[in-house]
Amino acid sequence: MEINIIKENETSIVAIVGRLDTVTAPELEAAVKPYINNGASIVFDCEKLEYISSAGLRVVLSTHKLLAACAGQFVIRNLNTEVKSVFDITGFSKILNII
Amino acid sequence: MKDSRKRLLSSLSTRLSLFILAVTTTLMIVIVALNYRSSRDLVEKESIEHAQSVLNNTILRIDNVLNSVETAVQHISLMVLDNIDNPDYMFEVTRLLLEKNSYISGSAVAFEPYFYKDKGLFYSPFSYRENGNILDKQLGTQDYDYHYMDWYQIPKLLDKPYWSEPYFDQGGADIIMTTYSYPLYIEGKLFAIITADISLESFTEQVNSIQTYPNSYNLMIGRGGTYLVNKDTKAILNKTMFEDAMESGDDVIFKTAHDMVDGKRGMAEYYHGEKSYLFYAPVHATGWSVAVNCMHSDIFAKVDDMRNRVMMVALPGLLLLVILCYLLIKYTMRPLTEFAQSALEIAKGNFNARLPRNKSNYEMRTLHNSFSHMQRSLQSYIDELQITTANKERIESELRIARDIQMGMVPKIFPPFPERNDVDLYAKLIPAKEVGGDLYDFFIEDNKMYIIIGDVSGKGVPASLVMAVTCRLFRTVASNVLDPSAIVKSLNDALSESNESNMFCTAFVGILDFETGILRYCNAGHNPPIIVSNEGKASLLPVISNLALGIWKEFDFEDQEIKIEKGTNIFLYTDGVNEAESSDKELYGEERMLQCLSNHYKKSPKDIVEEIFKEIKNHARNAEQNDDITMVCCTLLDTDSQTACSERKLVMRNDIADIALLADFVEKLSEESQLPMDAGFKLNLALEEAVSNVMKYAYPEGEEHEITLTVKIDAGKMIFELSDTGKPFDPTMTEAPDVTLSAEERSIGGLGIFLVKNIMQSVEYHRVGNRNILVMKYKL
Amino acid sequence: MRRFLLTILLSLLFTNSYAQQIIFTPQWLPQSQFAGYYVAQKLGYYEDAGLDVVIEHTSSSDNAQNRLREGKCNAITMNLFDAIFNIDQGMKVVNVLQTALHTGLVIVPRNNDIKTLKDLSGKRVGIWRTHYYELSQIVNEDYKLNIEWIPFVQSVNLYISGAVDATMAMIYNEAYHIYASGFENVSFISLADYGYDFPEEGVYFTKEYYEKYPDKAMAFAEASRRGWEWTHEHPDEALDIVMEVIEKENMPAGRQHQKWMLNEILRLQCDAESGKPAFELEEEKIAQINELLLKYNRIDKVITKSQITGGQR
Repeated sequence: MEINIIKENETSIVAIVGRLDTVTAPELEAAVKPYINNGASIVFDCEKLEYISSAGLRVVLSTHKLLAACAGQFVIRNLNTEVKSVFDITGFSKILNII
Repeated sequence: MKDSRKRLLSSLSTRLSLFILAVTTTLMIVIVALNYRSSRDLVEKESIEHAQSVLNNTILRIDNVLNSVETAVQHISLMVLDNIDNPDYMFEVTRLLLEKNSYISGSAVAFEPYFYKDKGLFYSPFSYRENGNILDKQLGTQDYDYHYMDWYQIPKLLDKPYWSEPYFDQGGADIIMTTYSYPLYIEGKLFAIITADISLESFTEQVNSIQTYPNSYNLMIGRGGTYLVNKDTKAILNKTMFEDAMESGDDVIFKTAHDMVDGKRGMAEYYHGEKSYLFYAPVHATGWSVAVNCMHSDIFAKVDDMRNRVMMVALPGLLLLVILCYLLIKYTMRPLTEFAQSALEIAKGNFNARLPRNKSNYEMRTLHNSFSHMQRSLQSYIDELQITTANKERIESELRIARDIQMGMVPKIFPPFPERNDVDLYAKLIPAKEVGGDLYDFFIEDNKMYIIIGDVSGKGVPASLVMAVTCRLFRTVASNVLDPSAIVKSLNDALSESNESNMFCTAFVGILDFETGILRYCNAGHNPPIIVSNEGKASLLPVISNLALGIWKEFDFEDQEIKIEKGTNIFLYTDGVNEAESSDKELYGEERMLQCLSNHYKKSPKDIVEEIFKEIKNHARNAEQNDDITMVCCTLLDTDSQTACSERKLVMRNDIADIALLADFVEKLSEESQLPMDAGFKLNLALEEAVSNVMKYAYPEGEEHEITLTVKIDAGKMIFELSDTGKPFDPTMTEAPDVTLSAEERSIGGLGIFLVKNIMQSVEYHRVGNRNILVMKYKL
Repeated sequence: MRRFLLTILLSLLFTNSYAQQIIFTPQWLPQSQFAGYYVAQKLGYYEDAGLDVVIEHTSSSDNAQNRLREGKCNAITMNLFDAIFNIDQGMKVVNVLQTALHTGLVIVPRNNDIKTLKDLSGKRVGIWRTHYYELSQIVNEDYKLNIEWIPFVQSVNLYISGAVDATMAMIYNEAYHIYASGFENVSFISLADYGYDFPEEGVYFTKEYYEKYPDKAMAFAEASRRGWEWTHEHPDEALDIVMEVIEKENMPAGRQHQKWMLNEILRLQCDAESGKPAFELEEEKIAQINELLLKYNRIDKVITKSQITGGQR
């Protein structure tokens, strides 16, 4: 899995490439953590995200909660069909800002 | 208190000081004793001489007086003889004697009875002094018949002049007198005796005045030992020296008294409480003897005194010496205790501990310098050690990484060809060190399995590097090559090239054609593999050794081939197996290996390898593994007897890293079963959740265990069985999350199993024996 | 008149008491030879007996017998031998107490070659000027010794100076002096060994006094005897009393000598068998003396015991 983070204006765009599973989820978490601070705006770009498991979901949820707690913004975009279906099944689609 | 006293006593300062004290004291005692001895001898001699000379002087003076009296009397005797016919003239004579000699107090001319017919019985003209005048009288009276007096009778009987035994003067007043009697003869017959009386007063005075020593006393005795001079005045003329001797029982005094009375001169030692000397000498004229006594203590008083003085000065002096020595030594030694302190500090790890500054003497300076040098050495040594350790740790961690890399080079996934039902293979490589020199590899191409097993000479990093090269090279050169010897040759070329370290590698390369069942092989110095027939007969594959790789580039390797029947086990191994040593250096050996393989021939390659491995471990017991152990077991399966059952199995470790294996497995499964992509995705997700759950929670932390996933494809359903030997856990019991909750309200957990349940048609949990079995069914 | 009578009376009394007074003169200078009497005096035995006793000693140039003759005293001590001789000569004395039972006379040789009486033949032998003359002479005649008697007054200087070959000595007196003058190895010739063991001292009163005051005389004897008995029992204390007397008389005396003397005197007073003093006058001895004196014509007649003791014993 690869993570590329670029800054676009004030927003940090986190492009996740590959599988977000039990093994790789911690990496994402570690990579995103520095960017979570007051009023931060983070975008998870999942265009190249092939697969997500519950571990990945957990990271997404915790990121959401942390940002919510410090008045940040969190957006998830470009989910592919399979991945989106996972978000749907788990009801994450409803609680997250998915575009 | 006792402790500190012990310390004081054993301290160097004390010991040394006491030693010095002992030596000095002994020396001093010897010197003083010797000096004292010789002083005493000297003093003794001197006092004896002194006493004797004093005695002699006194006697001389007494003698002088006595002699002068004798002379005087003899002188006037002539006058008497001249005037014999004139009796009255005798008064003149006696008076003259008195006039001429002041110490004569009385003089008489005593005649024999009736010498002068008319003068009667007692004619004895006598002159005497009274109140400064010289008076006359007749000595003899009725009451005083002088003829029987000692002074008359004795010289008469002895026929010679006689000094009388001293007597108390008639007049009283305690005056002792002695009378010199001089007999006169006419025609041989005594007719008169001239007398001269003298008082002993002057003599007694002289004797008494002899002063030799403070406690000395003097005495004079007469012919019978009667005391004439004695400090005890009552004894005078009253007691004899013999009586005193008898009273005190002193034999020495007794003998001395005899000697004195005999007119001898000498010195006697006697004891009267303490040792005393008695010096005695005779007054020949009268038969008296004068003695002077000195007490031992007096003689030696001065010497003893001096000795005492010396001691009195010396003793405090010695004491002072001891104390000074003690202090001095202690002071000098103080740096030592400070050095001890510094040493303690250094021992604690504080290498820069301060050293005592005191470099007062050579020894201390040397000590200081040595200590200082030691400090610096320690410091640099420790620094070096730290660097070395850090390096070592670095190397070790790198080695660990290298191992991972190495292990990554050899196929690790078993079964490697789950899709094929004609072959099963299992391999195990346990390096002796972190990294090893053993290698194996296999791949299938064009329905042929290419296999290699190799052993690089040596162990560790060097061998592992060659192993890495060889491994990579194999895949490259083996592809599309039909002759094993060609593969071997290529490898040999490569390894022989630039092989400066002369590392070689034994190898066995085989190509197993599944269609024909023929194994073509080329051995390069390696252990011949073991073939176990489908009846369980184990034997060594006949091989031509050829030459190990990397030695000789030009070597011509030969091929061989053999037909492999279905059901045959081919067992490849390195010499780490058959040469596994027990603690008494006994090798595991070919025999045992053959036997074991034969025993378990029916088992799967994995089981076979594990069996061999168990035996090796048992054999080795506590012995250290000194060579890499590599085993590859391959079974040519009988496809015909296989049941038409598509069963796949995946074994994972409880390490989330093996999730990757799962992904591969699912991918293959999807491919073979031609599942739609979303199905594959979903399966992957569900299985990952189930498996990761088990991986995370089934087993205790840090322990490596297996998790087995099997899948059966049957009538439009895929039945997955996930089993583990962990603690009993029923994932189905976990509460499903409430997906309707908001993000804030959502809990992190429980999602996994939710997904599984969601994706799979059914999820069932069984606990069988010690295994958790989760059965998931997926509808195709 | 009254005064006159009183004076007479007093003078009579005085004379009387004076006349009763016992003036006792021992036969030599103060010494423990007369211990018993000093003891009796000191312990008040004479006083208890109602006696007025004065002890007056003789001087070295005089003797007790002379004093008695001259009336200077009325009681003396005397040797039996002399007493018998004197009584024969007409001396009027009475023995009231016999103290010594044995003789203390010895001969002390000056040279080693004199060992027996016979060896004294022709030799110079010292003898007291005033004592024991008769017995000595008799022995001289008895043994035909032809001794040249050299009289000495007091001291043993004759002996010490070697002017005599031997000397008569009293065992308790001169013998001691000689012994103490460096002649401790000398061996005495005892007259007792030659059959001359005659008792010596006794107390004699003038016949006059005795007849006048017999009770007093006997009382004196009795008290004196008591004194001696006490001395036998308390020799050390008796010695002290003797030394006291000697010192009072200003006489030179050595305690050792006096001790020796007392020892010997007491010994000579004791009966050979019983070891106790007897204070007896033996008939046998008197007879012996009489025989000897008669033999050598010293006396004309036998003097009986009764004569000696005045008929009392």
